[in-house]
Amino acid sequence: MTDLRLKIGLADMLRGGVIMDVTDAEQAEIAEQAGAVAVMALERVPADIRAAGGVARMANVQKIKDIMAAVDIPVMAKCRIGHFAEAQILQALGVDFIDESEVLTPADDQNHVYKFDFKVPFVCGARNLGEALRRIAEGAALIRTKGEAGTGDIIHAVRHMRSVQQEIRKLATLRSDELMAEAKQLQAPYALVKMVAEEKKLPVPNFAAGGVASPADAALMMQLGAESVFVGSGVFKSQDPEARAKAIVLAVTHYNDPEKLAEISSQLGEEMRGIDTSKMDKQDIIQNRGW
Amino acid sequence: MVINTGLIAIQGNFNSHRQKISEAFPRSNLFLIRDIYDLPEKLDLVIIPGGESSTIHLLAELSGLRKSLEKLWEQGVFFLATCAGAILLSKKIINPGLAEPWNFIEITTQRNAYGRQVDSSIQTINYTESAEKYTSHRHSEGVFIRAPKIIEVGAEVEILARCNKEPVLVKQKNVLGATFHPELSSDSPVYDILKNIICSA
Repeated sequence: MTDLRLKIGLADMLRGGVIMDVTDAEQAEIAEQAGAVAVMALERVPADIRAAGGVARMANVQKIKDIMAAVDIPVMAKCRIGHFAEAQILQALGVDFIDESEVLTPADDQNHVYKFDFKVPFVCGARNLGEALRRIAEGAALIRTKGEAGTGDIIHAVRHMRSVQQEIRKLATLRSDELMAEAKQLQAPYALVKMVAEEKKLPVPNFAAGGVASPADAALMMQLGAESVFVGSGVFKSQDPEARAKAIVLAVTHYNDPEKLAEISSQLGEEMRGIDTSKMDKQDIIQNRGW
Repeated sequence: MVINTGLIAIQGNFNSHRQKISEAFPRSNLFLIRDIYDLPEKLDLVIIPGGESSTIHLLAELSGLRKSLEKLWEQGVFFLATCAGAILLSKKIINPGLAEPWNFIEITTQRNAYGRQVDSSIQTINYTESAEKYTSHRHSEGVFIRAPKIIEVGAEVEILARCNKEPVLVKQKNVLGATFHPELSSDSPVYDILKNIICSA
């Protein structure tokens, strides 16, 4: 079995950076030139997945290969929840990280991929601490908020990040004899609950994803405790992908410096139009995928 | 001895170095450096962590931090550079991509020289005779993640450790460069070496 330190180690190296969704080699190059620390190879960005409908699967293999050939930074790709054969193929291709993602149509409505079986590290989405710890117990080396992908609406990523952080703070205040009841409440393995209570943090890095559209969104998530930011539709669905990609990269480095953020945010075009998630049909919400 | 440490925090795994530095230098002042304005008046040590060399380079160039660091290096401030950091400080990079060599140490490096993430590994590192004056350790583990290789070393460069006969820890004057991640090992001799070099300087 691959030493977990190698998997979490790569996640550590991505800290303080931006991981950008790209759908071809040209976009991957734009992302790399803007200073992205990694790219996520996709068939369509989440906003287009929503628009297209149908079943969303792992990206076309040739497309992933082209993207891997185009850039030197790590390349991630998404597999469907529970679709370990897609994950096996992605590992065989040599991608650097697999996102077992709710953005694609789930392949299993009970089980996620058993990620310890793989050499390549996995990132998984979580809305709360219990979900994060279940994914870590399955072998995830990195956790990200789910947010609500493809909407450009940050409210869900904020909710998920706050929820995880609040639950960690709560665990840190509990007595040892209260942790089992809390583990039951969280629906998370006791050993991991105990570890988080002692360390006051997740055993893997915690990134933000789902709805980031502006430098301010990225800074907000970093100030709320995210260690890096995934940007999906936010870059390539905006009016000025190159400038916006650069601005979001700078915003993640200087997230605590409002004057710098003001300077970074000037001279940007329009954000992606976005969807107000409070006005969406329940069936269109994808963050509830995952168990 | 109070050591003022500047931790380059543009991007990458700077947090793991934090803990190690406070253990090695209990009276250390730590500064997170993202921009030239973050540089304090006096620094004794600068750490450039692992991360993405292209990202760190692009942002350091944009803010002018690269030039400031070059001045500190010329003044003799000590530098510890790991993985991406070591790539940036080298004299030549075989496959630079968007990164550029800052030329603080006479080595030639190759990025991602072992391959992709599935080729990352934990190996045994052997310390050379040159390292004896800084550490009693003969071996330790080395965590290599999408790691570079040092392809060539200049005449002034001391090789302090090798892995499978290839140099992985090198020193030239006030620069110590590692292609692996001592910050990810529980008891890496690299911080011993760093401490002994700085305290004897």
